[in-house]
Amino acid sequence: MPILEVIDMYKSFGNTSVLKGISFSVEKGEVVSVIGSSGNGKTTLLRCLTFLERPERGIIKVEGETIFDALSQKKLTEKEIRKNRLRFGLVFQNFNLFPQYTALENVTLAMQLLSKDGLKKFNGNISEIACGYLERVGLGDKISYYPFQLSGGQQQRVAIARALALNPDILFFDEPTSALDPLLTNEVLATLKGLARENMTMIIVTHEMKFAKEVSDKVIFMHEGRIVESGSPKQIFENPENVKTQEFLSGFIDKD
Amino acid sequence: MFNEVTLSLFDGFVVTVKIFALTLLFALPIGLIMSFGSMSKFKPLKYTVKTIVWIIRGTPLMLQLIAIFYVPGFVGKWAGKLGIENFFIDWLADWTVPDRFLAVMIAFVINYSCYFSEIYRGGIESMPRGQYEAGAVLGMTKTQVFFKVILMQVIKKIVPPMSNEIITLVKDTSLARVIAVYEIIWAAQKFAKSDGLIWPIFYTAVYYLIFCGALTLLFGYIEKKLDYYKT
Repeated sequence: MPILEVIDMYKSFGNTSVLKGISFSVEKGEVVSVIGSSGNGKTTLLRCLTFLERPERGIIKVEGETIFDALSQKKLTEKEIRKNRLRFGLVFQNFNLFPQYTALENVTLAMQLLSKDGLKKFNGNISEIACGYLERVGLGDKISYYPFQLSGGQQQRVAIARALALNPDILFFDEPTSALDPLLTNEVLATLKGLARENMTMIIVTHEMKFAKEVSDKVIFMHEGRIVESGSPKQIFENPENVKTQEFLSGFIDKD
Repeated sequence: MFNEVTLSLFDGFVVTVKIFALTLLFALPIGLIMSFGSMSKFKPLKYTVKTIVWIIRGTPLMLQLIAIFYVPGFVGKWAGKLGIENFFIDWLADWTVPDRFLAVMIAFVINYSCYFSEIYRGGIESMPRGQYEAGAVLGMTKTQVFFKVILMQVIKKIVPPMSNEIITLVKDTSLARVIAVYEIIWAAQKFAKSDGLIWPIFYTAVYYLIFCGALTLLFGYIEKKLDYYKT
């Protein structure tokens, strides 16, 4: 059974339809890369999956259980939305760390609130668990630094630790390296590769084609709000069938 | 004579500080509530608050003092003439006599709540959307996001405009004199009337300067305290 299944998702802003019937599924432990030019709905897809936007149509299933159905008459309560959200983690393009808290506090804040509200249980001391995640992303020596004292790559790694600490079923990345220079990009990509090796289920929206090719189990190409092609990295990067995919990828091949 | 003036001015200054402190005590929280009103998605509430802010910011505080002091009395007497009588109307009709200080407080609290609400609104609206979204995807409620993530950043942002407004308030208290509330300026004018002395009026500046100087130091200290992080 797939860990995540998205069925026929539609989303529009005013008269602009951004998602026009998106369906796909992800198996446990899979790394899925979503590629395509900017403005073709990749970010909106992640925002719909994390309930930051509400799609007009579409079903989200996690391990076979329907957690969201846009056409359902039943209104979700805030607590249910919170619970659903916690199945997923989202790492933003521009990190969105909380500037007034240290790296450690950024990780522990939500952990403490969720454990207080009885929505999540953590086995052991929250600070120690958080330290563990910061060590895992290579920032064990930076736990008491404030975000402004860290480089972009380090900030993004704190954001990854913050998302990991809540133990989500799937982690989403929205262009995690687009705000970084090439050196810092590699630093963050190395962290992502590490997570992939540990079989973390991930959906990564990215413009790093080399990385997508290397790490993904599956690649999805989006164009004008639709998935026009998906398959193994080998198939998408070496033998794209769709004309749009070929056009998009040729731009990258030229650069290499 | 100098000692006598100093002591007399100090009596007036106590009232000045009282107006200042009570205005802050009420206007700071009321301003925050009003700022939520002016950012509300519920249009009637939003536009009611915005209209109030427009009227209060668009007219002089002195005029508002006079209005609050005299208008209830007019209304009371006018209602009395029409033959409407009850406890409230009687109280309104007698308004001018005992409640000068209350009138000052009402006018100041309304006026400063409006100014503060705009400062709060500016601070809250300047917060990037990503901060709310980051909190939300981490499973925090809207209230948790506001108090744990947003508020601290808003406070840091509004300390400079707030301190500016609060220092203005110190000097605005002198307007209470318009409806004959005894405060420091009034205390000084007494000497001009009875003894023909002008210098006590200028002497009041020393009190104002010391008070504002202390506040400036205090706000400088707060700004420094909040400087441990940058956005």
